[in-house]
Amino acid sequence: MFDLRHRLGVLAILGACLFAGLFVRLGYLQLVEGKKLEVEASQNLLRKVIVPATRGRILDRNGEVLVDNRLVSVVTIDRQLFPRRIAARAELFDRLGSVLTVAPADIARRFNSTNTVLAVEVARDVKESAVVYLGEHADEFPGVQAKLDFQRVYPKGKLASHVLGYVGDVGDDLKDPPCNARYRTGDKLGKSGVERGFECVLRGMPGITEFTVDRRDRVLETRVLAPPIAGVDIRLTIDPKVQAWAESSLQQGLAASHGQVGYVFTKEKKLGFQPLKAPAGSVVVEDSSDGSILAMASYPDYDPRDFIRGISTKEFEARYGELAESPLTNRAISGRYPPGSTFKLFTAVSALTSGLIQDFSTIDDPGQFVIPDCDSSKVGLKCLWRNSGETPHGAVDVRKSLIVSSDVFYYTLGYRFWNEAGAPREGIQDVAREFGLNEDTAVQLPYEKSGNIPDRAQRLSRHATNSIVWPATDWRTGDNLNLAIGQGETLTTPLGIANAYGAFGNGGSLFVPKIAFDTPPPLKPTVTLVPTSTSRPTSRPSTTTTTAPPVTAGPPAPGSDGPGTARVGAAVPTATEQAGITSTTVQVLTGTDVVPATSTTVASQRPIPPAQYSPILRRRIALPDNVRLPVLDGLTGAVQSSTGTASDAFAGFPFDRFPIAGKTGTAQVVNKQDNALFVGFGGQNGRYVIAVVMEQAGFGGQAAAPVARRIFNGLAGEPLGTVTYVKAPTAQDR
Amino acid sequence: MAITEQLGSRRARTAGVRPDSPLLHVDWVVIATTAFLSGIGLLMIRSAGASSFVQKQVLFMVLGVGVMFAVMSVDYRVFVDSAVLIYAATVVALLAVLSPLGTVHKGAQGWFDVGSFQLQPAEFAKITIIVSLAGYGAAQRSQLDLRRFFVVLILTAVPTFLIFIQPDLGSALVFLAIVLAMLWLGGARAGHVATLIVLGAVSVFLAVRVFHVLADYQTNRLLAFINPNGDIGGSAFNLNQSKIAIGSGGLFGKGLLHGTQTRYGFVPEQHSDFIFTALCEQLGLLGGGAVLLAFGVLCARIWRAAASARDTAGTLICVGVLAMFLFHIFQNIGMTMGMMPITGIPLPLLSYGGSSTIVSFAAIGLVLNVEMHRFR
Repeated sequence: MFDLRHRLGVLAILGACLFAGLFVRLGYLQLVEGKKLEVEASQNLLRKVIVPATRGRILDRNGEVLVDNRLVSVVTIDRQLFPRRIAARAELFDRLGSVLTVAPADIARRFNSTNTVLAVEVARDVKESAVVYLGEHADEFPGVQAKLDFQRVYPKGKLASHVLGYVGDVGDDLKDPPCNARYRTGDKLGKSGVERGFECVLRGMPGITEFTVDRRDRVLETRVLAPPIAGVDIRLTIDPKVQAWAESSLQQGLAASHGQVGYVFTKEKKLGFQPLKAPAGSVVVEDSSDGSILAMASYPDYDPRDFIRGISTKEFEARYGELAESPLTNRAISGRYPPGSTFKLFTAVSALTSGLIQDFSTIDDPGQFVIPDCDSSKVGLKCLWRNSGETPHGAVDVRKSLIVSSDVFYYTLGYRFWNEAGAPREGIQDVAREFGLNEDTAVQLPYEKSGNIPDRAQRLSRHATNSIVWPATDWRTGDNLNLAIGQGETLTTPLGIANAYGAFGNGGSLFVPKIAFDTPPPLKPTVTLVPTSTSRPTSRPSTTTTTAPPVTAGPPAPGSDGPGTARVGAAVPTATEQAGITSTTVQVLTGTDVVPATSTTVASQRPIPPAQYSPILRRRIALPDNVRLPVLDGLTGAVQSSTGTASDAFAGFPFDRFPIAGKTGTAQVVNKQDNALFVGFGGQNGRYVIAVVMEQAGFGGQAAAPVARRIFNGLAGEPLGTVTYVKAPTAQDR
Repeated sequence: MAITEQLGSRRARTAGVRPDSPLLHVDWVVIATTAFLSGIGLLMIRSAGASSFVQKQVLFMVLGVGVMFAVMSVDYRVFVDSAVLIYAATVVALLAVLSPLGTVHKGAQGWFDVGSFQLQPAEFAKITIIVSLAGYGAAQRSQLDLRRFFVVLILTAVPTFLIFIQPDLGSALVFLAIVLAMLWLGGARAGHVATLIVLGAVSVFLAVRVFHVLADYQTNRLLAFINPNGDIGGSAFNLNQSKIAIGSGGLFGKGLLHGTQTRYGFVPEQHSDFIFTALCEQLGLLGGGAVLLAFGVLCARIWRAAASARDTAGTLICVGVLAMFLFHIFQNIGMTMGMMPITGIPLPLLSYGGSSTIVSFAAIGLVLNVEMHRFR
């Protein structure tokens, strides 16, 4: 039964099978897969690293730097190499915290804030000594890396922060990147303002450096395949002085209005008196002769330095959410406000152009206007329309209508446009559209909203789309009355109305407003990158073995890890990056002394871009003298005559050497306090246009005009003074 | 015995000794292959590690050869007769290493510090258990009924368990291979052995996947083996790098000291557990094949010694050593080529390491001992 020979035979067969298996596998790996694995072995040694380009600086009109770059050390943790156990992690956070002199909880919070597979940044702007320590004790800090990174610096603090915008993680922009550029997860790009609007020229072109490394990522050799090309500096048209005046005046004005008594216009038509909130506002100063923007302010504002370090969602919501009045929103281009009486300019121009009225033709203003043939018993129909405070203005011509801001005058025009035979039914809209009020201004800034000029077609299509949000079925006379005084669904942005006033002030040239002097076109990768095949033909770079230093080299010298340190697992190049690159342009830097940052010089002594400016004319608007002059007189009177709605705010201004014309506005917003507006232009040929919009700040003449006055003070070389609320208005305008 | 007379008469005339003298029947093929493999091992340790490893390994080999001769100098039947003592000493040593006397290296409480060297009792236990089981098996005269079958299992289970909890999964598995082979040749019923294999496979599966008796890194290694593309704790990375290194060696290899994978440290533990990788990258299929062939010859000679042994105890000793070497070779080389999961098992005679080297030489000494005593 038991046969030793037999059983030994089984053992022999088993052993022979095992050896046969090993032989077959070895032959397969070395002969069949050999070539493929040979390529993999040679690629093991190579790390292609994207070297970020220096981001272009942002300068003001005078060539002074508003946004610059600085090289800082950043500490990251690679999740794949980091301990998995909670206790081990906590212990490492503790040790790292004491090295970096940062609270361990802070490091843990930032580490846990994302679940990316990439290295997570846990500390920024780290001391040199800490970087050296981490380099020397790399074994004690698995997954912890220090690298250099560029960081935005703001020499003038938060001046013009809304214009400048900020830079942040590419995040969701990866799906639809600006200018079709190739971004990688973890890249930074402009998130708002000029940083976003000019992203394509500011970013430059990242370079590619190839490192030959060993298993521990010690650099044996470095080749610059394509040097990074620094981004282009942007010279803004922003005048830092005017910008500072605009920001301080707006803030002072809102502070002055805050707490003054105003009233709330509700749907129920109850007039409740309340202290004014005056939480937010915006100011735009534009050069009407060429469309260049001199200042753009928005309040509440923010400090772009807050975004350098990154911020948690919760903290973000608390500081920058809607409850904090959305301080990140640039209200000058993203805020849509009813223009109120500032719109009367366009109604007046329309009435004069269409011949509905002539210069000096008058309309009687008894303080109220009743729509003829109006059936007040019909639900939702408003037949009696009043002036602000029901003030009767008597016989009113177009000049006086603008000076005292007579609503009845414009109600009458609104009624006649819509109902009078032979009158252009949408004459008001046509003029407003010509002045660009139904579109955006096309300024090169992101998130600009377009204005809205309502008409019958829009009313019908809106109702058809959503009859709950838009219950009104058709355009009615009352809508035309509202339109004539810039209420209802009429909306403009501060920049939009400033630009339109500028076109009127300069005699009819509607420009596309520009925030920067001329910039070169974005870079195209035509010179340096020439993809060839997808794999390297040789198994082993011949230079590696001859120039490589001993393998026993210690940890990398501090600072030798430039931006984008090569690291196993994190920076393994993707297939597209590995696309071969012709070696003809390769510049070999032997040795381990690699400082990629030197190839992208930190911008500080770079030349200032030229102040070359090519205005973009959108269209010429025909403004014959018989139309323009009466309206101009009215606007001048509103500011300069003793009965003008803005006259108190401008009392004592030297109009003889610096003429100013403008219009106040007090716009109703349902369930909120009135918005205060002032739009005007001053100086030679009305060169400086200023638009002031202040949310829930009361009357335009009382709150907004004083803000504009202070900026005009600066522009005219007068003492600036401080903004005060005009207590006793000469006239109240709606 | 006719054969003895024949053999003896030829050599006795020249040597002037008794024809069945053990000294006349030393297997020089085994000694030659052992020398060849040890030499290749030194060369690879030199190419993969620092020179201090080479010096130490030479010292280990000298010690190993000394132990080998010591083992050969005593008739193996003396060992077999003291099986109980050897077994007891083994269990005591394995218990002691778990006590504060032992020290922890690479996460396992499995070493005694002796001066600047470390002794790993689990390695030595492999041969002492082989001798002990051979002693028990021989006494049963190839009649292993179910009760004796279980006795063998329990005898093996005690040291295996002590090693498993160090924890040293790889070494524990070696004992499984040894006991299976020795049961098979010791006369266990085929059905019992088959049942044991099935139950063993099921319980290993349950232990790993259901009761999670393995440490994290052990599970990771297993998972990396099952799915080499998901990087789990770096194991898949190591495995992949090892395959790349072997494959990129091609037919002739990249030449000594020209293996980029070896030289720049992409393969882990390339002087010890992954030494076969360093060999294949630098010397290609020729080098790797030669070593495999040498191992094949060595195993064939051990098998021959088992077949020609004078008694059951000798057969069982050789079979135990054969199972140990086969398992080590297949597990270690298979691991470097992605055929087996990663366990910290050295390649006999090639891998750097004191205990492993000495034990390999001792095992060969045992085989030589059995073979040279086949006539007397």
